[in-house]
Amino acid sequence: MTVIRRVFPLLMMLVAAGCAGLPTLAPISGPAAKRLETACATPFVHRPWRFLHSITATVAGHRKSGILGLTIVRPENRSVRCVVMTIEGLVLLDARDDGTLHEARALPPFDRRGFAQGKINDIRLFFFGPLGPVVARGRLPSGAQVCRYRNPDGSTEDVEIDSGRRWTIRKYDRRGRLFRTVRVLPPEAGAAPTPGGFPRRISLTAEGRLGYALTLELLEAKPLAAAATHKDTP
Amino acid sequence: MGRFSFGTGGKKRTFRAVAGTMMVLAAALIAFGAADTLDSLRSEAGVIRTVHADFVQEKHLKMLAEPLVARGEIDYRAPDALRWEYQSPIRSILLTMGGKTRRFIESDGKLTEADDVGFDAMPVIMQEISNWMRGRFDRNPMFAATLEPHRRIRLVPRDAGMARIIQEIDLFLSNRPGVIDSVVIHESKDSYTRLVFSNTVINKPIPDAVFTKIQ
Repeated sequence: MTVIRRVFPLLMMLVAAGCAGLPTLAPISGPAAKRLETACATPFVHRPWRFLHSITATVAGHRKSGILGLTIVRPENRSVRCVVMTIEGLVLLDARDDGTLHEARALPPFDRRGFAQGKINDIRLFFFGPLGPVVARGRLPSGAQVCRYRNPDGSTEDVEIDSGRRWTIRKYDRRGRLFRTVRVLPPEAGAAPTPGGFPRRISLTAEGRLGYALTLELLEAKPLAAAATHKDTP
Repeated sequence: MGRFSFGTGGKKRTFRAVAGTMMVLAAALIAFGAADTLDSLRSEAGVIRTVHADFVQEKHLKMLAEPLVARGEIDYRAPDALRWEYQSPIRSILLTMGGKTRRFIESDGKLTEADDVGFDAMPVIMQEISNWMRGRFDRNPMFAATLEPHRRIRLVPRDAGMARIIQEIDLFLSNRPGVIDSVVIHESKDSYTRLVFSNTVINKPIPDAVFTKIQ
């Protein structure tokens, strides 16, 4: 018992440290919580879509632009097909994941181990809702409202909606460390609405030693047939 | 080939593929006459001083029901001035003259100068364009050229590694002397890029500002 008394505070400190990354939420309950959960689902696709984005990547302080990303997403099976190409049309990466990753083409440095899977995981973060259930609904000190999801792999996703109805997704690992942030960037003044109301500009920040930042500018968005066909398929 | 630095092994092949693609797209403007041999192309190529053309680029992928379409304009002035401008779906301008190259990409509604992207490719491209301008296809270190029936020039990579990136490039000469109709770049059986040129103007003076200012 003496040992437990000595160890217990240390254990609690370790647990607290592990969850230290998750921001504290002032709980929201009742009908407001239900409305919030509905709002938290709106950033994500609910039918198949094809997107074309212009991508700017910042890696180790170097900014690389002039890359296009073609993405087909199907939420019914969370499948993703992504093609990364130069403006001139040279395909640098062609990969799909329907539960299993298939790389049809990958030119260096896009053939680096784990790159294609990482890119597909980022795409799933943008377009598909979290896999796990809502475990908390609350408000941040900034006033933004948050739905917190706990995924089967132990990661946590916060979908945050601010007063301007702009959303941010933050993903934390099982130790509560932030490792991905997706933000909607303000559109340029006078910009026309996009098909499906998708954000014209979003950013993704990958934290950590191998961190990077992506800015995606939507060029085209096209809804696809609900059933997978030979064309426009992942 | 000029001195420049790039990555090793596979990255070098990617860079060369990008450079090769850009080079072919730019050099495809070169006007050829009613030549029936590569040697006669060489003798005809000497009269070309400037070229301007509009283009429509179609990216065909097996996964797509219809191609992705880009549009733009291209200007070339011998020996080393090039303006390669995409107007849609995103505005991108590559300017090169006198050994200086700049690239601008549209982001958030304005053109921003890129600090990389193909820079290292430009000395290679310009040297190859100079060779092509003189009709010296046989001097191209990246591709072997043959003149095929129906006014088609077929370019095949010399290097097996490059062939895994670009399988073949076809240039289709117009019946109108001095004009290229289209270029098709085959990457694989499921992917190719087709450029169709129009409104081609040859040997009209092009001022320096076209190659130095983004306008």
